[in-house]
Amino acid sequence: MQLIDSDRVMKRVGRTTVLRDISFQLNEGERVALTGKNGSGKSSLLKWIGGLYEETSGHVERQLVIVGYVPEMFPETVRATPRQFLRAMGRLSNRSSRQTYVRMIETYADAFGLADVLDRPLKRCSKGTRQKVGIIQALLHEPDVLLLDEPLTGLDEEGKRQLVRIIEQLPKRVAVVFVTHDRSFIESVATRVVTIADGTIVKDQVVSPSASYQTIAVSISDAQQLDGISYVHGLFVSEERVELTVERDEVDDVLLELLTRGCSIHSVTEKETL
Amino acid sequence: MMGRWTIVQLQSFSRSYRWVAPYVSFLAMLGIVYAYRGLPVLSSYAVTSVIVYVFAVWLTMLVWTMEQTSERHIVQTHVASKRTYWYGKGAASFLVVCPLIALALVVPLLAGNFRETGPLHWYVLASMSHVVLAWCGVVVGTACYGTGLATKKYTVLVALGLIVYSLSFDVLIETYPFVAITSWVTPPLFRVLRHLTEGESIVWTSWIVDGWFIGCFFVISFYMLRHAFHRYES
Repeated sequence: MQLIDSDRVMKRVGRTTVLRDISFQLNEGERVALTGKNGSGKSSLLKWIGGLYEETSGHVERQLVIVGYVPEMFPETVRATPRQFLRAMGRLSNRSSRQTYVRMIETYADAFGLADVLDRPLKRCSKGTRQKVGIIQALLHEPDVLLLDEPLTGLDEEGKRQLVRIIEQLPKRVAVVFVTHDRSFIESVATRVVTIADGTIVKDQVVSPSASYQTIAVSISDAQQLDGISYVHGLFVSEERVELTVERDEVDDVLLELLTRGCSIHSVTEKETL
Repeated sequence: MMGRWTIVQLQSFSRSYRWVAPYVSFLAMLGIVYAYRGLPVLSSYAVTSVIVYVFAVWLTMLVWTMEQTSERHIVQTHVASKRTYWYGKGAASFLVVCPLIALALVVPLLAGNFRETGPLHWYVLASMSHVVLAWCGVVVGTACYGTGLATKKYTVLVALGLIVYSLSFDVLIETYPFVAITSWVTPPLFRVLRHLTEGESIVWTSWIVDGWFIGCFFVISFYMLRHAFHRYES
C-alpha cells in the first residue's frame, strides 16, 4: 500500500525554501535512508513525511497512519524520569492498554539496557540514555511509519546493534525512514537510499541490505559457552549445534573466542539479510 | 485523547515547579487586597478578577513554553492531531488558573474580610467574573505564546501591552473613539467588571448585551488563534 504520494512539493519556512520540487512516494514496509550534506534538508523532509511540516505548495496524497518520530536530540526540558515520560507517552498513544504499554516499556528498557536508569531523572541521564528513551517512546506508539532523525547519535555499539535488531523485528508493514550519515547502518537496514541536496531529491535508488553479516555454524557442549559472545542472532538447530549471525567486522574475534572455549566450528557463510 | 493530553500536561507542570512563582505571587497579592477588613464584596471581587486575569496570562505563557520544539513534535505524533494538541494546551492553561479562582473566591470569605455577607447572586456574579476574566487571560497568553509571536524576543512586551490595553480599553475608547474597531478582539474586561460595581440587583438586559459581546469575542478569538497556531506549526 502506498502511504505517501507527492508531486512537486515545496516547503517554505519564513523566507527560506527548505524543500523544493519534492516528488516522493513511500510504501508500506520500505526502509528508506535519507542522506545528504548538513543543511541539505534531510530533517525537514523527514518532518514533512511525518506530517509535522505541511507543504507550502504541491500535491500530496497521504494515508491516515500512525507516525512514530524520534528527534535528533531528545528534548532537554523534560522534567521526569524515563519511566514517567514513557508512561505519559504510552498514555497519550491510546493504542494499547496500560498493562500493555507498561510491559512494552520494560521490554524495550531491557533490550536497550536501561532497566537500571528508568527511575533516574532524565536531566541526570547521559545523552545516549536519553536518545534510547526517545527511540522507545516512538516504538510504544506501534507506528505504521517510524521516523528516525540521526538515531545513532549518542548510542554506543551495543545500542546501535539493538536498534538494528529492533528495526528488523518490526512488523513487515512498518515503513521506516531515517536520517543518518552512518554507512554501515544504511547498509544493514535500508532498502532504499534517498539523497538530498539543497532541499531537493537528487538521487533515489533501491538497494538491498548488504552482506554485512556472516553465519557461523558451531557445535557447543553447553549454552553457557555462548555467554558474552557478540552475535546478532542465534538459532539453535539442535541441542548442540547453533548458527550464530555475526557482524562481519567481528567474525574473527568471535571465531577465536569460540575456539578458545572449546567449541567446534563447522562453517562460516555469508548472510544476505538478517 | 485531549483529556489524556491535558492530564499529562498538568503532571508535567506540577513536576516542573513553574507554578510556584505565580501561585506564591498571587497569594501575596490576595494578602495585599485583603489586608483590611470591612471591604465591599463586589468591588473586592472585581479587583481579584483583574488579578486573576493578569496571572492567567502568566500561567498560560508557562504552559505554552513547557516544551521544546522536539518534544512538541513527539507529543503531536502521539496525539495524532495538532488541533488536539492546541485544545489540550487551552484546557491545561485554564485548569492551572482554577486554583487561583478558588482562592480568590474563598479566602476573603474564610477570613471574614467583607463588611457584609450579601445575596447569593453576588457570589454567582463574582464566580462568573473570575472565570470569564481567567479565560480572557488564557486568550491573551495563547495569542502571545501559542502563535508565531512566541519566537520573537519582544513577546513579553506584547503580552504586557495587551494586558494594559485591555485594562484601559474602557477609558481609551472615550478618548480615542477609533479604537472601538478593535473591540471585537479586545478582551471585554469592562463588560464583565461593570456588573460587579452596579449595585445590588442584576440588570439582566445589560448582562444579555454584554454576554453577547463576550461570546462573540471568545468565538472570534478561538478561530483566529487556532488558525494562527496552525500557520505557525505548519
